[in-house]
Parts: sequence; C-alpha cells; structure tokens
Amino acid sequence: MFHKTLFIAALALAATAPAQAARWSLVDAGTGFGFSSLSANIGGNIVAADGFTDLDAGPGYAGLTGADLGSLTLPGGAADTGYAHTLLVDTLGDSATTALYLGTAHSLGFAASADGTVGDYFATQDVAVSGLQLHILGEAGEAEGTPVNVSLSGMTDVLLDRGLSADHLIGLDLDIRQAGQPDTLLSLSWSGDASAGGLSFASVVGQVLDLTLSLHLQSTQSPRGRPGLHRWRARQRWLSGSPRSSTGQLTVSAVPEPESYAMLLAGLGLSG
Amino acid sequence: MKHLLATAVAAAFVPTAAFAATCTRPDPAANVTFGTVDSGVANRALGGCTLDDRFDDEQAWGNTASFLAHVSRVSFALMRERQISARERIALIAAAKASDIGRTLTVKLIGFNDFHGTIKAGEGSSSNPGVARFATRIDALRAQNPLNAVVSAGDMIGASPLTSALFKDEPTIEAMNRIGIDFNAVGNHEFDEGKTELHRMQHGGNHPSDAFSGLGLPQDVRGDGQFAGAAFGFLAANVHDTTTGQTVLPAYGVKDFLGNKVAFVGMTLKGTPTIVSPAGVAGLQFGDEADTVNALVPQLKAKGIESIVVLIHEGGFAAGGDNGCDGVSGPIVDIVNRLDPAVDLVISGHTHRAYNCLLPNKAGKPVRVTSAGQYARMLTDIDLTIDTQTRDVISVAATNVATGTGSATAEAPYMTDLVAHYDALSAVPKSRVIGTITEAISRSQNAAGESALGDVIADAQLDATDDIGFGEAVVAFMNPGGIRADLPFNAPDGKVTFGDAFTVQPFGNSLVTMTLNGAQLKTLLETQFAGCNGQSSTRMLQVSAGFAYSYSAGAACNARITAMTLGGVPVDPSAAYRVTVNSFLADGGDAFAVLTEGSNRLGGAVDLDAFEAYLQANPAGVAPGPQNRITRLP
Repeated sequence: MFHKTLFIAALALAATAPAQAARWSLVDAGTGFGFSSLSANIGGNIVAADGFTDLDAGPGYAGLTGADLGSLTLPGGAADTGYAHTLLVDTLGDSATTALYLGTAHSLGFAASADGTVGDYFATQDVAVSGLQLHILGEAGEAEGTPVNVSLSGMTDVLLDRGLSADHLIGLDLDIRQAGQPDTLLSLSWSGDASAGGLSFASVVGQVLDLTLSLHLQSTQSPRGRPGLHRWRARQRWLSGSPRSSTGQLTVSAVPEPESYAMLLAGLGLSG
Repeated sequence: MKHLLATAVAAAFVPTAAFAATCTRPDPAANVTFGTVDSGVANRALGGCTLDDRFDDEQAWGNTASFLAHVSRVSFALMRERQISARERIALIAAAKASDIGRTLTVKLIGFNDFHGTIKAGEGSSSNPGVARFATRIDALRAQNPLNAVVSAGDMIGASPLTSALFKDEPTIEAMNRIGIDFNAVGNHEFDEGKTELHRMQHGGNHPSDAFSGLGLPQDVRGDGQFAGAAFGFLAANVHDTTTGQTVLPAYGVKDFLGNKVAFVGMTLKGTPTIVSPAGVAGLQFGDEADTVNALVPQLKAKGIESIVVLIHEGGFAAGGDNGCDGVSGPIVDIVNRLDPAVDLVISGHTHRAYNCLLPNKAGKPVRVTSAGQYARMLTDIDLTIDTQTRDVISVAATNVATGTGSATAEAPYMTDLVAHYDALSAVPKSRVIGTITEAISRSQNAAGESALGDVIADAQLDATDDIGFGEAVVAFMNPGGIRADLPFNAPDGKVTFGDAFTVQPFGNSLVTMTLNGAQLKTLLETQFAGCNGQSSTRMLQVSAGFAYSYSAGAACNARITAMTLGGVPVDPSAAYRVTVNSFLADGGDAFAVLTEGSNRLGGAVDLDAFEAYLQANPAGVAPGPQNRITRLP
C-alpha cells in the first residue's frame, strides 16, 4: 500500500562553517512554483492527481509545499495516489550559508481484487524558482569588492521503484547571474538512483546574485517511448513511486589559498 | 558568453525524447505565447518550425495538468538540447499555467435522427441526399475537431426505402459502420420486427429465413460471410424485458475525451407500443422518458460522469426554420421540463422536424434541444464545452446544417460502392412495373387532413377486401404514418415500379377486415385527434371512396365527428359494417384501440400486394382524386 512516509519532506541543513567573511541577505524571493501531475489507466479507469503551488516568501526565506493524497475504489481494486513538491531557500540559519531544498515525490499504489492491467503510468513534477536575489554582505566590516568564494554542495537523491516498470528522468538546474561576471550554470541530468555535484565560483562583497533553481522529475511507464502495460493478479498489491530530494548549501566564504582553489575546480571538472 | 563551470552527470545520461515539430507553418510570433499569455521567451527557429510550435498549445488538452506536464517535458528536453535556458524554461511553464490552456475542452457532437435507411440518393424523394453525401458532411464536421462523436436519436432503420429494406436494413447498418458512428438510440421503428431482429442488428448473423440477408460486400460482412452487425451501440434505457427486468440493450454509452467522459443515454418514446405492431414489442415494457433519465443520473455521477447527453426518439414541433424554435410544442417539451438539471443536451427525433430549442428543465434552466429533420437531409453540428475540472458541460452551441444534394455535396468515395452494390442487387425487383398512374400522387394532406395518395391506398385496400370471401368490406382506413413517400410520376408514361410502391409502403403489413358498428366507427374517427381517447398527436386516417364525414376540430373530444355517410347514407350507430385496416391498426396501433374490438376478423393480402393489384385493375392509370371525403368544418 501507499507509504505516506514518502511524503514527509525532511529539510536537512548540515551547515558547515568555513572561514566566514560575508553573509547572505535575501533581497527578492522572485517567482516560483511546484507542479505535480500523475496519471495512469488502471483497468480502463483513469486515475489522476495533480496540483500547482505558487511560491511563498517571508523574511529571509522563500518556499512552497504542495501535497495531496487520494484513494479511489475501482472495479478491479483500490488505488492510492499521492504527490508532494517542496522548495525552500533559507538564509535564516548560519548567516554564511543559504540552505537549499528541493523535493518531489509521487506514488501510485494499487490493491487488486481482480486480475487486470495498468498502463499509461505517467508522472511529471517540477519545483522551480527564478529571479531570487541574494545579496552578499560583509560579515565583519569587509568593504564592498572584497573577494569571496561561493560554493554549492550537498546534492543527494533517492529513488524507489517497485510494482510498475518505469523510466525516471531527473534534472537539476542552477543558473546564477551576477553583474560583471559570467553566468554560473549547473546542469545535472540522470536516470539512476543518486547524484552528487557541486560548484564554486568567485564573487565579491556587495554583489547581488540572481538565482534560478529548478528540479524536474518525469516518470513514464516502460518501455520508453510508448505506454507500457502491466498485468496483475487478484490480491496482488503494488506500489510505484519516485521520491526525489535534493539538499544543498550555498556558502559564501573567504577566498581559499590558490592551490586549494585549483584542486577544487579540477575535481569538479571545468569546461567553458 | 556563458561559461559552464561544472557539469556533473551521474549514472547514465538519458537522451531526451524527440518531440518532433509538427507545424504546417512556422509560428511567426515574436515570443512564445500560450493562448494569449506571452511567456517573454523569444521565439526562434527550430528544425523548420519554431520554438512556439514545439508546445502544441493550439491542440486540445484534457486538463490543465496535462498541458503543463507537456510543456514541462518538452521544455526539459529543449533545455537538455541547449535550446533554452533554465530561466526560459521556468518562464515557459509559468506562462503555460497562466494561460489556462486545458481548462476547458470542446467536443464536437454530430447528431441526426430518423435516417430510415435512406442510403440511396433520391430514393423516396429527390430531397434525400443519400448516405454517401451524408458521410461526406459528417467527415467534414469531424475534421473540425478530432474529439467528436456521431450519434443518432432513433429510427435509423425501419420504414426504409427498398434499397435498404429489401435487405433487412443491413445496408444501413453497414453504411453506418463505415462512417463510424458511435451510438444510436432505439426509436419505435427499431422495434418494427421485434426484439430478436433488433438484437441481430446489433450483434450480427444472417436472418433465419430471408434470402436477402447477408449479401454485403466482403469488407462489410464478418469472417463467416454473414451480416456483421453494428459496430456502434444501440441504446435503450427505457425498454425493459418483462421477463428479466433488464434493459434489452444498454441504457447508455460513454465516450472518453482525453479523460473527460460524456455519457449518452438513449431511449425511445414511452408510447412506442401504441405505434408499433404488438408483435414487435411483445414482452417489452417502455418506461417514462424523463423518469428513466433522472434515475440514471445518480449512477452516472457515481462513475464520475458529469457530462450527460440524452438521445431520445421523441420530439416536438416548432416554426422558424431549421434552427427555429417558434411556438415549440409536442411531447419533448414536457419531457425536458421534468429532466434532472444534470442533463446537458437533448438530441431528439421522431417528429421528422428540424428545430433548435432552449427548453427549461426541472430547475427552470434552459437546455439545448435539437432535432435534425429526417432522411439524412440534415445534421446537427454541436460543440460541447466541458470544464475539465468539474468534468461538466459549461456551454452548448448547436446548428442544424443541411447535408446537401446533387453537386452541392460530393459523395464519399468510401461509401459509393456499398450503395451501388445493394442498388444493383435490388435492381431487378425494384424495376418491375406494377401499374400506371396519370400524374404524381402526393401524400401531402389538405387542410382537412386528406391526401390524394391516402385516398388511393385506402381504395386499394377496400378493393382487395370487398369481394365475397375476401372480407366483404365496405370501407377501409389507412394510417397516415404508414405512407412514407409520394408516388412519383415516371415520365413519359407514368409506369409505377415495385421500388416506387415499396418506398411508399415499406412495412409489409397485411390487411385485416373486421366488423365494427357505427358507434365504433365514430369512436375510431374521434380518436384521430390529439388528446382524445389516448391519442398522443393528431393522426388523420385516410378513408376509402364512398365514405365521408365532417369534423369540427375545435369541438370537444368525442364530439367532433358529424355527418358520417357511406354511399351517401348516414352511418347507423348500431348497424354492423365490415371495415378493412392494416395489421398495425388492427392491433390497436397509433392508439386506435377501438379497432381491437372488431369482430369476425379476416386476414388478407399484404398491403403492397393489394396496392399492386389495384394498379393492375386500373390499366388506364390511377389518377389522384379530389380529396373530398373528409370535410373540416369551421
């Protein structure tokens, strides 16, 4: 049956505190949304759940949470649907660290009372924010223009997939713009269970970073490219789902020693 | 120039779906626009189309979520192709949400009624366009919206011209299969030959005894060469088998439009037993139309169906042209007045009239009620707009459109071989000359309700039954509904073919002669008027030569008929008269229940054989008479 625990969004903030030279200030929350759409054809009956959530904001944070659980009795059994989408950008913790959390999850469960089929399992989820502005302020009187390093780390992901064979495609994108500097882009895309990544770039005290951050998840019943069909027997139970969460920290810190900086970039893989 | 600091790809990178562009003409808009919402994202050329073309916002979407998911997936793929940035992607999704595309869905319904097997152009009337032109018009309407359903409000078969009727109306079923219609509500004529034959129309198999059954072209018959049956659903919500208590056919059918279900409840008029030969409705019970629909509404809602269309073979009368509703009257008005507000549209028939009405339902809310005339001459073009959140219909737009005859409408190439096939098979029996007429004889009634053709048919029936041993009838009465067409004059010599006569009288009723007294004759004639003795609508019987009467339409029930004479002699209420009617009337059809009281009944010839004999007995040619047997008084 459906595991409601999948939809408990856990905000993991494991803030580290490197040599602090500056702090973050949320200037503008921008605009953002969460979107979830789940549907499947179970024994000729369309089961669907969907929702759209607008970004909310308060002092020092911007975020959204949307979730829904549903159950439906069908001629061939009982279906459960659920989705959740969450986004949080939080500058209220460690002043040098802005916590980022993006989470999506959906599931389709079915307890069959008779033999049947399910097809057209199809889920699409997005959480995104654009135009969010973070101001780098000097922490201890550093003058504007003082070099700082900004780093992003801590991506994680978990996928579960039982019951229905489905292809999952996940994408995480970060686009940071700052005056006088090239755009900083992070583009991750994968279909497996986990991913990790990070980046680092130079900035200065007084700079305003304009962030676009998005997480996309799509699940399509296999085989890829055409709706699949799954048969079940009476009294079978199955659950399909794809919970996905990404946590990260955007940290501003003093500029590291040159050799350390070079090693970090080499580790990440640099291209231009 | 953007500088990519880091690209980390874990596990296997999955190539994005192709999402091939499908534009016929690249959208020239400056920015990608969804509906009227400008995303702010610059439109640009992509593979012969444009970025805007990739999102298919002009096509129908079953709900807003499906369109958003589409934009999300397509834009994700484009982002992976480096065609758009993450910022642009978010702007596109936000614009898609703001556009409300998918909030409503428009479904096209194409309605018709009273087709009556008119597959061959010009058969029965030069105004009949034939099923090949009918198919062309349907296809043209369907091309306007791939989300469509073609539905019929009854009498698709029965009372058909010879090209269909000779073959047990199998040609009509096969033609409708080729068109691909969705549902046909049963009408009274679907019961002309009884439940078993109706089930054969649905499920196929050859007629057990008629040699003209199962003669379809190879692509129309089933694997064993027998009649295939209807690929569409017959619906009969208010017709129950008295033995099983079940409806003889499904009460409703459901069609799913991108997740939005529309239910079509089909039924015939509750008075079907009064206008169909009792043999045809034996063992069946016909329920009240509105009560039947209202009882189904909770069942449909329990299935998540909010869009409900009623296909009903009962109708009304209205003036004002094909799309008029002036002075609407008839049974459909009362039926709609009692309908549950959940019903969104009523497609009606039976009266062979064209109208386009808004009638109040039980809650006083106006409901669209349509009828598209008769004989494939017209279709109702209906756009249902469905709120995809509530799944309910929020607006209905309907227009009756003419099929068009001659060069006005081309014949669908995929249909002409079917019609030609049956036309060729019927050519010999159809072309057999059975007599002569001096000029065309019309079934149009004069102000008193008498028609020239009605007089001739009644005369033929009297002539067939007036001799000793054959009934000794002194008068014959013919129901007007049994006269299905005018008898045309075939130049240059007025030869009447079997096909012409069959089109006039296609039912194959036999003649019955019985004894009634003069009082019963008066009751018979009083029963012609709507509201009198159980009569639902005025039906002026056609009478044979020598019988005459007057009536005052404004008088009370059972007080309208005066001056009944036979051979100039007043009819004696207590005297016995030998009276001939067809078997339909003899069994009390058309609510003429008094005819069931007739005694000393004697069966006679088939009505069409009597007609042929009458023509042959008048080799100089039968002429239309003066229509002076019935007199309407002020």
